[in-house]
Amino acid sequence: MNSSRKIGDWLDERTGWRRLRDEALLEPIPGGAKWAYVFGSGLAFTFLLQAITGITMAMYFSPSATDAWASVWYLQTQVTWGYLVRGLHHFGSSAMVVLAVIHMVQVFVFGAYRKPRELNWIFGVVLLFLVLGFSLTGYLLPWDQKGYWATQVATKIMGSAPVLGEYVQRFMQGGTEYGNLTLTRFYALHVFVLPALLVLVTVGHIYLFRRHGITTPPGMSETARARVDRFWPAQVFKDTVLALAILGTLLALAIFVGAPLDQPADPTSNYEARPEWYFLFLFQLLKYFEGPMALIGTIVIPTLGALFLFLLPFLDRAKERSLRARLPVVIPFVAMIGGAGVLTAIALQSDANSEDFQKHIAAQNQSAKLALNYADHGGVDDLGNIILMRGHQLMDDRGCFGCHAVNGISTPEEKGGPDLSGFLSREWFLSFLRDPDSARHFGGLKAEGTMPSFAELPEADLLALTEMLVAESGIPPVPPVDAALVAKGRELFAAGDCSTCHSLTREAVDGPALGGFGSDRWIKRLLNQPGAPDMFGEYNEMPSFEDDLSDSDVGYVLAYLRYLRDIGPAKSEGEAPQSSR
Amino acid sequence: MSRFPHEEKSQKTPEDGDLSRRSALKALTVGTNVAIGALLSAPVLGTIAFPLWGKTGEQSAEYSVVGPLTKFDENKPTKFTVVGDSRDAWQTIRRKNLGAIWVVRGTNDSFQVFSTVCPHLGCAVNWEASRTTFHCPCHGSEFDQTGRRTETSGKQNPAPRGLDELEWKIENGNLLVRYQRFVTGIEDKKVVG
Repeated sequence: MNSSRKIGDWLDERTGWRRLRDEALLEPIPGGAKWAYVFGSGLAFTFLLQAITGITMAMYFSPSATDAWASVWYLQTQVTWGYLVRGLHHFGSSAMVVLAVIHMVQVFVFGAYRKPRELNWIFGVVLLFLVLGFSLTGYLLPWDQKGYWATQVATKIMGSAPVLGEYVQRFMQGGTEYGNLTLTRFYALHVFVLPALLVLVTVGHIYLFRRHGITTPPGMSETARARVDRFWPAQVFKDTVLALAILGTLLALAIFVGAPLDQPADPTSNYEARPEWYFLFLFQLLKYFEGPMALIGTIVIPTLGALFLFLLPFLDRAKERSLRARLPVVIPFVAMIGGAGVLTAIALQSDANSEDFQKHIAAQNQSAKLALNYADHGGVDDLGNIILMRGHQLMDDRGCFGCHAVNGISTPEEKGGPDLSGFLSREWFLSFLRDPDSARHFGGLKAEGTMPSFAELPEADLLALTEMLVAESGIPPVPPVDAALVAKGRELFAAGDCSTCHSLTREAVDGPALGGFGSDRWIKRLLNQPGAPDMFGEYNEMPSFEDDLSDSDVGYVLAYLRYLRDIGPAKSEGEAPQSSR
Repeated sequence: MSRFPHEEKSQKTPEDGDLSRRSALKALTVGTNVAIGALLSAPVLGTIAFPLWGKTGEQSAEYSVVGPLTKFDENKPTKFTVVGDSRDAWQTIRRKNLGAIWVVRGTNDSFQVFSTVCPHLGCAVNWEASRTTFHCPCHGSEFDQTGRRTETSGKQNPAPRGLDELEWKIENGNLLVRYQRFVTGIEDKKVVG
């Protein structure tokens, strides 16, 4: 025969692989293949998907408090198709929970947990909790606001348990507070411990399943049971169709919805945490218990529920498999699943009806968008700061926006200084030369009337002067400076009226010295000594930030002002500035 | 009849006779699996292989200030670090150590600036003042004070080319250097990337 057969024979003689294959694929299914049986293998498929996408993401993820968010942002926004892989993994975790619950309900309805399959049911419940463990540990890893605050709630609940709670919490989060060790621990659990346990228990689960065979629906007739399909291909086909449906759904979600990424975790913020949707029923449950009773909602009821699931095969004393005969366990089971469903609905409903929460969410989404936009344009530094975000925050904190307007960012009630939209850009210089006393520039300030308008100059001269001023900053603009225009600008400067008040060195004449105007050094001087004679002298109204901004703070402010220069003033009010990418 | 019907060895399966339906189902199943494989491997492989086409890092290609001219002695190779902005995947770092250089000052503000990276396999070369030789501690590459590969009879010199010279200029009394990395192990001096 052909060579592949020969190789097969050779291997079979040494490994017996054909027997293993037949064992796996030719298992008979009494009563025939059924759609009802697909959920277990759907779970196996989804777990495989999580493993593959998880390993892929591990090639980009850095579990440290300074790097985690940035590394996820990088995967999500910079790496080709990285958002798809992360999207598959994110929505895949929801798929695991959904499939696990459907699988459990199916097994329950069929009574497949009954003797001799009790242990297999227990293995299944263990698997369900492992899946929830994956969710809990994975949610924190991006180190964004949502994951950070939602997981805080979970570990605080652990800490509230009597006797050992405090130690469990401290052990889990690697100390008394969240930090680097929390991330490394959750990461180790998520990628090593939990997968190893899940594989181990799954092997046991499948072994027991194969040992006892499929459980047909209760009440199936003997004649119907006599019809037997083989696992391959009758059941495998159905399983595969589900797998394709799962993958298709997850891909669609990854593309059209996308895995969320909030702004980086900020322990000083107040964030209204919500857990992932499948934990909402627990979140809702604890609203009904207050003070010393809180433990009932957080620990007692969930523990009782878990105990019920584990002990179900032994609580069921019915002689028959029909649901009617099993009412004593059917009622609490239905109450539990239904209760969780109702609590989830109430939680969703009350959030949807709460105006405050909706406002909060809208604001959060806005800051998340801003954070991502800032990261895309200015990057994240080695301290984990989104450079432009930090610059924005520093200027906000120091009250800059109380005086300076910036399109889309700040609209001060009373003008205290010039508008900073497009500050130091070509457009800004041009607009200043044309109309220095406009509302955007000196209008309404002490300096109003000190600088004459040059609107009468020919356009070409204005452009040359502008180019010369832009060149003084030494920071290359886009497009780069035109050396010929700069030279022409210098000639005009020397020949015209400019040089009566301004120097092109650092020497003060009558108005601000223009040597190095707009450079890093100049902006530092503007922040530290705006009233110096070579700066704005007696016309200055800006406070000095000499003692209020550290050198590294100034670096962020510089980066932010460069950003304002590059995006220009073009954006309408109320919209976060975004330059074209 | 045994308790579990599937343990019956002689069970007849109805679809055994229905061979064409069975093989159609098999083909369909294989096809579905191929679709799954393709849909999943595209994003996964795209993500994993990203460094093959994506820019994962960058070092400033601008001139960086090494120090004022007074810092450099004539005819005495001295090691300095070049600092500049860099981007490493998700990190944007200002003033990072980009690399080390040997600065050799000749007379009248003439300089030679060498990368410390040995062009053989990338270890850092040392200056051995007693022998006026740059020596690589890893595999024994040697270069003279002007960066040329030395030829000593009876001794192997594994370096494929001389030390890599870096571009420099003098501005406002400071020495500025443009730090670059070059491909090691080849005769030609070729910038990495």
